Amino acid sequence: MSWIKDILNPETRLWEEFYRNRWQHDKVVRSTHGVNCTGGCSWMVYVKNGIVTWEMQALDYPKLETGLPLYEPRGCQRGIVYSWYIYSPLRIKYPYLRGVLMDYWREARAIHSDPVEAWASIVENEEKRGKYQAARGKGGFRRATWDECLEIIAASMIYTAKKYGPDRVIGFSPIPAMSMLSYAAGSRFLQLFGGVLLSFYDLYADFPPASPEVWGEKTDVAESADWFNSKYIVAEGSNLNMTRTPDAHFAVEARHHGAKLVVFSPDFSQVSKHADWWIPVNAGMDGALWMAVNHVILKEFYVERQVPYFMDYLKRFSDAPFLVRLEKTGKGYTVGGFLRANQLEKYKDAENGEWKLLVLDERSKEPRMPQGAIGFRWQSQKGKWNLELKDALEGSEIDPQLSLVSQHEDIAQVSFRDFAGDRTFHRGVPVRNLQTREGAVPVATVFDLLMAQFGISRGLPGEYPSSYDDEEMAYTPAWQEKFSGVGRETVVQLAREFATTAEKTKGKCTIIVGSGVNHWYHANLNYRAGITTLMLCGCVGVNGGGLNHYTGQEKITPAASWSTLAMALDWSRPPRLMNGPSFHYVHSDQWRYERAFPDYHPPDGPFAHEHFLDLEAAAVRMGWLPFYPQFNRNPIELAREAEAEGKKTPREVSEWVVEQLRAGKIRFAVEDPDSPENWPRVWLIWRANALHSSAKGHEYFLRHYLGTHSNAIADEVAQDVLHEVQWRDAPLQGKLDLVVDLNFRMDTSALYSDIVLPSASWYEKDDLNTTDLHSYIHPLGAAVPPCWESRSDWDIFRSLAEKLSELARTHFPSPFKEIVTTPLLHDTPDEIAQPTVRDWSKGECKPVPGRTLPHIHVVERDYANLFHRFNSLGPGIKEYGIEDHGVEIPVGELYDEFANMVPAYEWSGKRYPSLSDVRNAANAVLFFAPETNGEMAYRGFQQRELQTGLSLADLAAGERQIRYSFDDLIRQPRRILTSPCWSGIVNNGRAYTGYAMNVERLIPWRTLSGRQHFYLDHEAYLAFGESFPTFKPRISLENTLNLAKSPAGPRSLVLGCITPHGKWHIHSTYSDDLRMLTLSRGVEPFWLNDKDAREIGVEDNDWVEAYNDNGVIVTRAVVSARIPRGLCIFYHAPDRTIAFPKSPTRNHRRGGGTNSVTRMRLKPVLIAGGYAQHSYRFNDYGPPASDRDTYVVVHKLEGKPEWD
Amino acid sequence: MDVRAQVSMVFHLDKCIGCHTCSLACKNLWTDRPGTEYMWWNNVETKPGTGYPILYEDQDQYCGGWVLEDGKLRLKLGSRPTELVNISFNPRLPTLDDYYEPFTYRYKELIDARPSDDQPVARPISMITGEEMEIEAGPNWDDDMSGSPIYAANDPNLQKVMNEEERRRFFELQQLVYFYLPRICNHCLNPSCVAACPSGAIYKRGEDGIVLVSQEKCQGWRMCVSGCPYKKVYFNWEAGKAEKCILVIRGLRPDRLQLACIPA
Repeated sequence: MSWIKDILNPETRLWEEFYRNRWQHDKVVRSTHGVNCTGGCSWMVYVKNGIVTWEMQALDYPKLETGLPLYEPRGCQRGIVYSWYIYSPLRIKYPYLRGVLMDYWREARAIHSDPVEAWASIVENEEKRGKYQAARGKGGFRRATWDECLEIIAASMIYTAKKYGPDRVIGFSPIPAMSMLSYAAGSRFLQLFGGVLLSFYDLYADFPPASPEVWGEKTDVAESADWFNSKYIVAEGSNLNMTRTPDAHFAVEARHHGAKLVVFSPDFSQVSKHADWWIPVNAGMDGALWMAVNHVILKEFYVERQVPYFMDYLKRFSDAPFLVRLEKTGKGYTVGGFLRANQLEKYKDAENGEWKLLVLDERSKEPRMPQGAIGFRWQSQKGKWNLELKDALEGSEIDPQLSLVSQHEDIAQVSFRDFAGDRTFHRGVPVRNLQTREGAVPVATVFDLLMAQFGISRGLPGEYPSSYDDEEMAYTPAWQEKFSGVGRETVVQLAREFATTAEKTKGKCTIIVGSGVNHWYHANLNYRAGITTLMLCGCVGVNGGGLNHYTGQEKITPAASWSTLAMALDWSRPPRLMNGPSFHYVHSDQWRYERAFPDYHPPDGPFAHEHFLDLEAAAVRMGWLPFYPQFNRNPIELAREAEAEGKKTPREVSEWVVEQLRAGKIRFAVEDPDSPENWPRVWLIWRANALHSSAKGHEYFLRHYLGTHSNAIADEVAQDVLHEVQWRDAPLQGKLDLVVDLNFRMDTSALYSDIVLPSASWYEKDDLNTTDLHSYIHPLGAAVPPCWESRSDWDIFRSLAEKLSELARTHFPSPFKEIVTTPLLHDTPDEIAQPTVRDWSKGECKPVPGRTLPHIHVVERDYANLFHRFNSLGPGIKEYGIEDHGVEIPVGELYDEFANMVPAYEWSGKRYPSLSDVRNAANAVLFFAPETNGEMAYRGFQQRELQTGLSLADLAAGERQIRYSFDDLIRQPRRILTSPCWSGIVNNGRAYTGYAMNVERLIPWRTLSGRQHFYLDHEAYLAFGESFPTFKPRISLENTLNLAKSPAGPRSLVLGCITPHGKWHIHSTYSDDLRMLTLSRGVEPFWLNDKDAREIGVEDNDWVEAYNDNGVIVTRAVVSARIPRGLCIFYHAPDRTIAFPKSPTRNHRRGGGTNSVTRMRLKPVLIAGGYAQHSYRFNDYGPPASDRDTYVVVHKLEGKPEWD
Repeated sequence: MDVRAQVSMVFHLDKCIGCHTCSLACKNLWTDRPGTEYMWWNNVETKPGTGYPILYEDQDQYCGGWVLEDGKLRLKLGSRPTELVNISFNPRLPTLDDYYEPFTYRYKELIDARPSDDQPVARPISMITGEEMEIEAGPNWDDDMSGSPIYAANDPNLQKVMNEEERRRFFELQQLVYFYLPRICNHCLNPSCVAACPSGAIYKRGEDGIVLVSQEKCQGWRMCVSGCPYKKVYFNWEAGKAEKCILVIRGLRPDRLQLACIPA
């Protein structure tokens, strides 16, 4: 290369400055993206001349313990293009109001000087109301002023509170963890008002119901660094490369460190590419495979030989040794409930004796009552709620007997249901006949019943499979083939590898799981089957082990202090919090399109309601689930009426309400949801795409909530199977008077709202961010001030509060009372309220608030001072302290210490710590949280010590002096402290893993037995046959009703439609981003198999229509050999605003998005309440809105796409 | 010349998850300007696939790189005299369609739409002409085996190593494999782009081996585009000059030596 000359003359190199000059900036500010991606990555934002130019990943996470790889690089393709939004043409720069409504409003305001009267004149005029509703989503926005918009919103809220009650005003914002104070802004405002906050985790079906079933916990999982500690990783329904983008490197590093990575996925997904072993399991059928894995493990690692580590683990940390009653039936026996301690003479006087369980002691062969069951948690004598294997009465050591197989008194033929094969097996189970207060009762251990359930005969008589090759008998490796599509040898090999690795490493095997498995109707069973494997192999609570479920950035690490601020508990309690799935299922009238659930999910005995809505209403009546609006009456009027009747104390008022309910003078709103007084009226949406990506059954939202066009054609089919809830024939369109969206971009929700308020973007505000995937807390920072007329969420809700208080001076001048109902809650004594299921409305028991029906509270509101309350940290935090996971931490003098740190806010002659500036609010969260204030952690552990009688405070002793402030986080992300509210131990850089504290420090799980549960004995679980881990196949096409009116024509295919998380967006955010669209196909495409495509004449990039009775999607096809036949993928959840043409099949209307073809379906068994771990907690419990069992017809779009 | 040091960039192909964060870091910093819309100095390809620009590896078509002839290296594109003949018409150049026509959308329609009887939508338009367009190509069009019967199946490398029956079996779901190939300029030790440049505008820096196109000297002949076998030199249609990866010229970032694509 001698001909290439070295250029040495500096003159000729001066031009290089051209590129150097591009790399200039004035400042660099730390922020992140509040987008529910679970990444929670810290970013450095570059600013030049007051303009955000670009962003780069932060590289300064504190290190974890030696040996663990670094967290960085963290940050993905979506995050790195965020700055595009700030100055994009999609940016909401000003407040917008739809023209139709603006005209009506200005007209009304010219006549009515009072804004509330003006609002009344519009919404009480059916014609006007219908017109502005029909205009929703169809353009016609006009720029408005902040003042005008705030006035409309405040007026509508006051109007609604007066006319119907504050519980007709609802708010939705998901995932507080992504920007905690922005969430808290709206929730605090709403709770001070008495509005309803809707949950998100269960609405997204991201919440895994198996987690409370087994562990009494919403979700508690390892940070991604802990994957590195694993030696065997199974990833299912979780496409790590795509959806855990910044964490995926740990999986590769674990592999390089010796772990095996196994992936279950129907398509050859991005993570499959990285796997050592890809197992192409049929979509939604993972559970069958795990059931057979358990069959093999039980046979080879528990019968053919025993593994001491596994046996010991089950005895100490699971319900396996606990005794279950067998009930005599015609042909033999069936399983019943756990034998309760007070059923034995010896323990009959035990406090909460029906909430304490029994085991047989190996040495004495006698029943013993181990500590740790839920009865010990709520008894007066504290200190026995722990996992020490001691008899609570005598204090003697217990060695629990797992199996009676070698010492049985009898063999009982017990019936077991096989739902996939629709048959019942009778299998021999070894029993003891135990003398109880009601005579001799046959009992068996959970372990022996589990052996029978999984078909491991151990030489016992009965219908047991003959071998692994038995194709007929559940749950052999051969049996599962027809469901999972996976060969038996594969299952046997997987089981052996998994258990052998767990044996050698003492549990360092993990299942990483996500929405691909969790979004199915039978998600809880799919999960429990895998969790059973983990429990059988001693993997839970071990670093490198456990069920690592990642779906949604649900972990609000400083939850205890945050919830006090966010729910305004410092001023009033309880808050109105409702499970989103039930709310939308009922109010968006999706129930009207659903038949009887026994069609696809038959129960035995009780719970044989035909329609889910009847069951929902029963659950509300019995206090299992919340529901708002509460009654068909205004709760403010009710309180007034009670007072007029001379009821003074809260107790008297509550009894009066019960009397009215019993007399039928008032009714629960859920019992007649379509009656206009029971409709939700005003909806505030912020940090959300509530009308689209969060709207399972989106087309029904459009029709029933908004009253605008909809592409749904499904028939209403519920009337004949509805027995208790009132059916109304009237066409129900447009329940909502006003929809308000706070947004920085014109997404689908903004497009369909009445008012759009410009909110600050993620580089224009200060906030806090945490995630499940790492153990740091770090900030969003204002790199530039909010652009144009945008404001931070905090400031928007402060402005709204100010306006509301202003109007309230006329309409609600002084404080007043209202009635608030709440369900029976987890982590309170409510969870031992209902040992048996009794419906007071049917005379089965007495109506007792907080026991057999919801709690009924009297709450004081002060609208005229709502703004002041918002701005000041109220005295409630000092009085009640903070609480999370049942740990109550006193605040005491720390309140005053905090008051000295921040400016004061003074009103009505009193001084409070000011929250006006969001940074002070952030500092309040940090200052009172045990995860960021060592003293609070220490105090929390002291409380836990009192509850458990264990020594625990040493976990926080070394960190008592630590106090993180917002400024600290701006400097560098900080690692959280070991907290009494969580179960991981993170001292000395140890990676966080769920339940380490339960296993190592013997704190009970928050379940019935205090242990992890294989067996669930709530009556609903017995009725639906889900007491044991079991398998139920996907809902059939026929039973989904998806295609009742959408037949497949020629050259079309019926395909299962799944919507996993995509590569070029986080939910809908970034789906409209130019860079993301450029790197993909310019539109969110529809993926299908090459052979399927050929069959219907579709070539790559052709336009296709995909439709069913719920709606239609029109987009381009991606044809790929990567996709299996019979399945199509439409990645969740692009906005329907970008490049989607109209649908010739559906009246030439604009095609929709992901949720246009879905309708939510709630699983009845998951409503159980008032019973140990089956108790409600906001976002932590309840039936998820499942939507994955969806089918569509796909065909090529004929001719050119229609646009206008 | 004496290359005294050679800075190289290494991508760990077993760790690469095809997320394209590196591409975007680079895009945001360097090619977010008129004339560079279609340029991706750093891009990531799914292999098998046809890449960006399409079939760039097919040197029968593009004639990039070197050939060894009689023990001597010469440009596959031809000798200097041939080059001069073709200087005004170079048949070995990829056209915009071989890359893709950069597009954007009528985003403002969503905010400004007049009242109508259906929902407004943002339609795609060309960044070159401003006209409405059908999107038929992109810089990452065959990502994750999308369009595999058209793209992956026509990967020139696959054609070379498998017969037809092997290729048929390869595209059965359970036989499939793919991986990601992140690509920037290799800053070759013996860069054919430098050799191809009639203006002497491209040089390799002796102190670190970085290959740069002088924006002063470049005359826009585009021989470098043809000469590079990786198609990693691009033509800025507005400036009329060639541009390429600058390996974030050393010393550019005072805080630490770092490329845009590295942390990503």
